[in-house]
Amino acid sequence: MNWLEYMDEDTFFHRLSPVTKIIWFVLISVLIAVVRDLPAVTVLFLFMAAVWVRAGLIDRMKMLGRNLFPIMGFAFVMWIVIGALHVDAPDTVPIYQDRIFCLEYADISRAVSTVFRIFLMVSVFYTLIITTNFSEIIYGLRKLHVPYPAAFGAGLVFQVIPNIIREFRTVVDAQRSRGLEVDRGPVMKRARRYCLVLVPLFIRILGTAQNITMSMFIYRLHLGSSRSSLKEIRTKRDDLLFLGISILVFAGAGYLSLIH
Amino acid sequence: MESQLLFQFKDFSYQYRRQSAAALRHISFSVEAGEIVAVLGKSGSGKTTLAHVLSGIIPETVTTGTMQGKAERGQSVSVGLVTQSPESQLFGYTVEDAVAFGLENQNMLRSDMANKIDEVLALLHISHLRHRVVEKLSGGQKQAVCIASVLVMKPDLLVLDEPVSSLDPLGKSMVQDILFQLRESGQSVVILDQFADWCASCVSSVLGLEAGQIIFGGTLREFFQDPDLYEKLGVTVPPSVLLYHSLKEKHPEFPLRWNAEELGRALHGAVYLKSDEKESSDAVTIESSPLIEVRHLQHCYGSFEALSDVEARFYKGRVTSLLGQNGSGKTTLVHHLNGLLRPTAGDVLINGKTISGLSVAELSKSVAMVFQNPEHMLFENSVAEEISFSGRMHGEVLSSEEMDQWLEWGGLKEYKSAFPLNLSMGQKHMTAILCAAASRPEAVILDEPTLGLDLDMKRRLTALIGKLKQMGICVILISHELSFVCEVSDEILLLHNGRIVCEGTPRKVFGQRSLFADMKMPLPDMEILSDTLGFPSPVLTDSEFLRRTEWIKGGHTHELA
Repeated sequence: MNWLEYMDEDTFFHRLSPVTKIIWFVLISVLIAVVRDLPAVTVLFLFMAAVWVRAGLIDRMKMLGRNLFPIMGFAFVMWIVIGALHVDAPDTVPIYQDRIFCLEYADISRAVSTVFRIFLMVSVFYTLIITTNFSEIIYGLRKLHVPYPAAFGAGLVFQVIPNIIREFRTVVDAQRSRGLEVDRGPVMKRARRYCLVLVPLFIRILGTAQNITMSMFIYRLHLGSSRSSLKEIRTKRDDLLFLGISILVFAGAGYLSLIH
Repeated sequence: MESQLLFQFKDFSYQYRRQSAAALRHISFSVEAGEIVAVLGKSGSGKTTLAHVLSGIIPETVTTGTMQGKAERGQSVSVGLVTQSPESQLFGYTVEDAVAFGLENQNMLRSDMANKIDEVLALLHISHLRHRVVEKLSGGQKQAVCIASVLVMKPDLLVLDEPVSSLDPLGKSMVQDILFQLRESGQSVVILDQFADWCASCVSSVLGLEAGQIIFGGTLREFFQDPDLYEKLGVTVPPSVLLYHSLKEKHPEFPLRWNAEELGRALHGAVYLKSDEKESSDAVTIESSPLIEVRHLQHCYGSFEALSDVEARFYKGRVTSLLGQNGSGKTTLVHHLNGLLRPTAGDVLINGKTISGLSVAELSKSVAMVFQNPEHMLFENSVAEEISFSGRMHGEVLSSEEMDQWLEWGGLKEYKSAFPLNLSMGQKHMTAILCAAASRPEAVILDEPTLGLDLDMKRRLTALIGKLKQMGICVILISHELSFVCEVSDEILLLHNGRIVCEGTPRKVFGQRSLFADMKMPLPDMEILSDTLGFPSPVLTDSEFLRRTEWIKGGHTHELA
């Protein structure tokens, strides 16, 4: 399974209109960028956890978490160190203090909040792309009056990226099968060997780009001209319900952030 | 009534770059409405360039390049193109999305679009695929959807560029049926291909293309009657045609038919099977211990069981072919033999030792694999460097004499210093095969080795496989080209739904007609001929036909009306 690919399933999240999902994604992304306090971020995280449980996406999110662990771990440590280098609240008792470091509860809170925010930023985007196929992304963006070239480009990225990842894996397998050792040995040596993979991969990507250009010509795609749409996107009751609940949660998180 | 002229070439030449050889030279022919024209030639002959000129890609998208002469489309004539790779051509998540794409670009009303999509899916008998995900379709289904997506725009002329090159027999059969539908509906089609077998029954005229020049123009019968011509063009012809040329000197009354069943009916009562000789491979002593042994192999992708309790043995100096429909588990099985996949249960042993714990690179010393698309493998600056790559990885040097010998066997001696990715697809494929063979592994796995190979290259490959056998190398083959499988195989493993359902000599396996019928798998043409003639056991190659059959005195062939 390519865990970056669209999940062809029939969950409640899949059934939401792409317009709803794109609006939701924009709202929650802005909120995650703005809200930094741990209680508010926790509310958002718990909301997303509920969405993932309801939509059957928990396993995918666990996999995402495992893959993001190095980045999140690094961010956590970095924020702890930076926080410990200065004193936030001189009146409170620190957890640890010496001549250089002064570790307070606020430092840990900020570090945890940062980790949650990193995970949330990536996971909401991931949630969108694994539950919305590239055709739906294009239809949704068009409905939101995004110019067709941009919408088509966005959809094309999601159509082509899984193919490129598959090509990369096949090229690596082909070179391993010829004796290129990338499974064992020092990391730097293995990294250098991976460079040999770049040439055939690059050629394949160029070939794909050429094929896409030709296909655009075959299907008479003129990005500047008006075009119709087979699919009609309608906002249903479930879309309004989901957006309504989301907005309430976002408002609650925003309020918590303000009072904190 | 005069037919409408759709396209006309008059002394047309095209060069991609000034310093390169012309891709098309002095082409003159025309296409009229209602015709189905086959332009036949080997890879590198200029077929795709011709397809691009017909469709307008040259010069509207490929604007560099020099044209001479005339390449004119008839008034208000539209041309649609189906390229070789449907996965790169289709835009759309579902079949419906992909077929609608072109109509959306034409700003068509939703209701009109829906009707046109219904029509074209019904015409091609693929309405049941409407809501399926394009990515999950078989090769034949993707090609059918690609044809539908272009046909829905109602082109006056449809150009098919090697539509069956990477398809299994079922996919080929699907595209063949579509061609019948198109002929019945009066659609004009130009097919560019190096295979004349699948489209033979539909084509109205043939053009032969060699090195960018048209060297033949005539009927299919005239084309098949000239073996020097189709050999020169490197075109694969139906086995019945090869048989005709093998037999016509001794039996001038032998009819030329390119459909195996038609040939069988024409020969009925004139030919009988004179002996039930043992297959030559039956007489070969099989080594007591196999080189590669697969024991109770199971492989699961999540909850899907791709291989179930598979047991198989592969021996040195023998060729074993794996057959089965797409999704039967062939590739999953061979990927276990060189460590690319690890078993969910069971084991793989080489020379009696388990391969678990060995990396793929370590295993490549013993088991070399050639991937289906050679472009995944090639990256060096020259063919010679490419061929010596595996040896260098294993710390072995290929001598200059050995290198020249391999190049000679592969017909690539003059391309020793050439950049591999600039070669034709057939030459790239042969380069990739030589890369694996020259590293002198104990076993070589070839995944669809005949893709892109012209007749001459296929013969070289057949001879090369013979040499590998003589060297004691175990050859494991996946191929959908059944005539090639019959030609080279000592043993066949037939897979279905992750299990081996039949194994044995080609005669034994292809004799299981009902099994193939249940699996909806086509049989080789020679087997169909044997069956139509009522032979008790299959005759699988034309040389075997010569050896095992006798003409009945006074027997006569039945001329079909």
